[in-house]
Amino acid sequence: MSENVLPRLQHSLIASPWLHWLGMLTLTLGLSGLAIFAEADRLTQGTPLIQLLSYKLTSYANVLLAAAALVYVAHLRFTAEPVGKWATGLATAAVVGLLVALLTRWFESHQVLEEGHVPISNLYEVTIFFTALTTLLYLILESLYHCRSAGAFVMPIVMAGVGFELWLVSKGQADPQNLVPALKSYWMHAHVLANFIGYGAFAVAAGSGIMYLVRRHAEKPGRRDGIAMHVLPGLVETDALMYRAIAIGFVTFTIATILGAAWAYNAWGGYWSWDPKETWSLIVWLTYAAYLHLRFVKGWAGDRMAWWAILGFAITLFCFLGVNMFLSGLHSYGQLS
Amino acid sequence: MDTNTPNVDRKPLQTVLKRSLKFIRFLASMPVAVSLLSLVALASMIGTILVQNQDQDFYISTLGPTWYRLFDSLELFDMYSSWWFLAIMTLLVFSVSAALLRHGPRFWHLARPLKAMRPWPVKSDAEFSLKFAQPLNNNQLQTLCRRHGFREFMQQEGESLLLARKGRLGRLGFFFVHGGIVLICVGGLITSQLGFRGTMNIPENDSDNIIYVQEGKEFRRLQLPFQVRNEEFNIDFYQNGMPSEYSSRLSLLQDGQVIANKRITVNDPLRYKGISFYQSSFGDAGSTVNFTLRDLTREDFPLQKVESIVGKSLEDGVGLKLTIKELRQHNVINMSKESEHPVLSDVGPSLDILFQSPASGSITYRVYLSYPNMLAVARAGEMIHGDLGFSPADNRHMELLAAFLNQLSTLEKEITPDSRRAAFAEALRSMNIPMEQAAEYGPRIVHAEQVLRKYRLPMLFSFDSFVPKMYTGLQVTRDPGSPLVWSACALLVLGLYLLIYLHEQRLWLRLSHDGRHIEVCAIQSHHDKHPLQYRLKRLQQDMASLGGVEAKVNPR
Ligand code: HEM
Repeated sequence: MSENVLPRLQHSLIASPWLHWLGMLTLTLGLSGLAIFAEADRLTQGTPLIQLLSYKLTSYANVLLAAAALVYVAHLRFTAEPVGKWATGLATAAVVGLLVALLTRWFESHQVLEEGHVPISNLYEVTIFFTALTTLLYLILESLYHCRSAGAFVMPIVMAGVGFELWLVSKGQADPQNLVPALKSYWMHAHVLANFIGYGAFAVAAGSGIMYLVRRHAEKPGRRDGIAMHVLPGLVETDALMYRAIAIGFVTFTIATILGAAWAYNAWGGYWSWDPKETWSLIVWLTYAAYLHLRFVKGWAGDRMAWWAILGFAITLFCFLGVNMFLSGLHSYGQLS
Repeated sequence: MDTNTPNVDRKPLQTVLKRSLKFIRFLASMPVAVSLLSLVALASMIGTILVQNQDQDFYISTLGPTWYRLFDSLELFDMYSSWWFLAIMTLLVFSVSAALLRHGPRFWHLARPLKAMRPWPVKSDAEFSLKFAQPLNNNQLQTLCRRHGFREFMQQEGESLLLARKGRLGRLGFFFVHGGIVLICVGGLITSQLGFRGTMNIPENDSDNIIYVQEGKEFRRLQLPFQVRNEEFNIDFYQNGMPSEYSSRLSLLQDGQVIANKRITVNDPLRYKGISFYQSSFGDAGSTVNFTLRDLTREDFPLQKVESIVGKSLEDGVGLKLTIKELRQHNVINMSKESEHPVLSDVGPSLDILFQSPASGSITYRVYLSYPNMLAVARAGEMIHGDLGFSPADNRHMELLAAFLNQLSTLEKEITPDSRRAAFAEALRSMNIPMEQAAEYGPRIVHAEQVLRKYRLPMLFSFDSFVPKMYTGLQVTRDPGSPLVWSACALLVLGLYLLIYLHEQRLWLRLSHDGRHIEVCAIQSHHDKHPLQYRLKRLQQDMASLGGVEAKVNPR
């Protein structure tokens, strides 16, 4: 490992970021309290989506996300620290906004529907959740490893999520909906939560993979000393970042799959029934298990692993969206109508 | 081994042993492991693309007979229980077990406490060296290491070489992860061999003890040692008519005694002595329905009241047949004009009646209890909806309509507005309805006549009342492998945590004889060396604070 990462790494761990995250949590809870206070007694059953505060909050937060993405990209060109601080700040504000929106929507669902529920039960809600968690995970990794230029590679993936979310709104898929009986389970909520931490981590890994390949391309002999050489972290650091994101993702994804099995076991009496969603999550799991083996035992690193992380995320995306759109199975609650 | 021994028996045994060791080594090798992981992933994709366990007809019509035969011979229609898929899975389990056998001893050894001093490593992951003005001693070094989480020490006699270690339990991760995977599969095997998974449909206020277990295309009957009684089945609804919860009150009875009871819902089964009862479906167990039929093929549209049971058929002996197909207690339809924002609403109970006669073919009628005017019929394709304007049970309107149609049929030539008006007046007269009420009946009768002309129906129905009788559909399972599976899952997660986040780290500290010069080097089990390098930097800082300055590390 090159020497120069160590002082940075050290700095970040000594000046413990806990205070920072605690502040973010407090802010989220405080703002949610305010938002819920503002929403109380204002809503009746069947209030349309666009009148919901959570919908407006989501839109504002999406604007912040887009701004953060732009500044992260600009930061590649103008490497000045203030630019980077703005990028991080905007992304942090966006995450707070999205989390507040989700908490507000949770409250609103109790007012708008007969029986409220945690807002992670249709495709629109989980997509918001995905954008929030991916950005949050990225920010955590950024603060740990000072890899700010990775933001320019992760945020576009998040923006694709935002685009998908807007498309869902235009298709009328964004209204709070009553839960079907099978979804009324604590296991299900824990399952979805863990799953999206996993998806988010795999997204960050794919972003790092792309960053790795870009830098790698720039380092080819005979190429001029381009900006990639100045702004992107070294190959070793990027490779390490990719591994760490996958490690987080693999552990949470394993937990998520087990929680999903526990849910199925309580609802249908079988923990595994080879339904397409289950099967695809097994495929995702095996893909990353193979990644870890190649890395640990064969010592693979670099290009091949970067491609593996990108391919792995493509498979993950298919598991998240493709299965609902193209295949049928028990998880039809996410289906587009 | 003595190669000159005359004992011929030992040789083959040894070759067998040697070969199997070689085979285990091969199975546990990384190329095999990664190939198997990829192979399972690729193979299981097939079953998600090709819809599984459908009827033969479905496959033949979508694939064509040639492909059907090919796919069928590969058992692709039930591929997750096909021999070849099970073989791949078995191979995977063997491969993981082989890895446990092959690498287990090494990891076990590493997870044990330190027994002997290890020499200074040839190649380390990080190192530093410090010079001090004041001499240091071993105790100071140990205290410092302890503060950095190193709890295990080993000291060489005579020389001041200190070995410190932490995170040895991380080595157990290998066992937990791979053992967990094997145990999960063993648990699944136990369940599939010793458990069962069947269904039971019990009408309300009825009891049963027979479970139907599907085996391929056949069903096997299993008898429970007690009776399962369905006290009550209930569906709760949201206001828009979508179901919000299905529940059944179940009692288990042995010799007339209740041994267990519970109200089960979709995510909350009843468990009793290893057998679980899940709410999985429901259906009609023969509800009683009352309806009125109007025979439009006869001149005066005679009316008949009928009481029947869902699922029954009624025949008149000359080819006409009515089948009571389905009673639906709730019908949620989209009341919104725009497709973007559906507004769901419940229009109440409906009854499907299949009418069959040689003259008119088959027609399915759907009649609504709360909307008797509504006409919904399907001949072959989709259901067409219309509005008759009044209920077929409405005598006055129906008779007037009959009279009007009779009058129209007596007209010979082309029907003109005038002749229609005359026919209607004649119909009113025949029913003794004063002409003043013509405006009241006229539009409705004329509308109904047009509707009937359009639909050309032999009969009309109206749905009068019903007494529901439902059965609850239970999934009944015995799953002796599940405790093992859940424990193994916990083991797997714990193991992953240990493997990925608990790193075995070793530290060698060599103090010079005068105690003023120290050399430190470290190695770590894990591929990700960041944490170690960071930790060593901190250790260096702490040590330097005792009064040391950086010195050059001697290359070794
Ligand atoms: C095909 C069967 C498998 C074989 C033959 C196998 C074999 C091995 C071997 C030999 C190691 C190396 C340990 C070392 O030397 O450090 C290893 C490590 C590992 N295996 Fe497997 N494995 C298999 C399946 C799996 C699966 C399905 C998982 C899924 C979780 C898994 C997770 C891991 C992990 C996380 C490590 C990391 C070890 C480290 O940190 O060094 N393995 N495996």
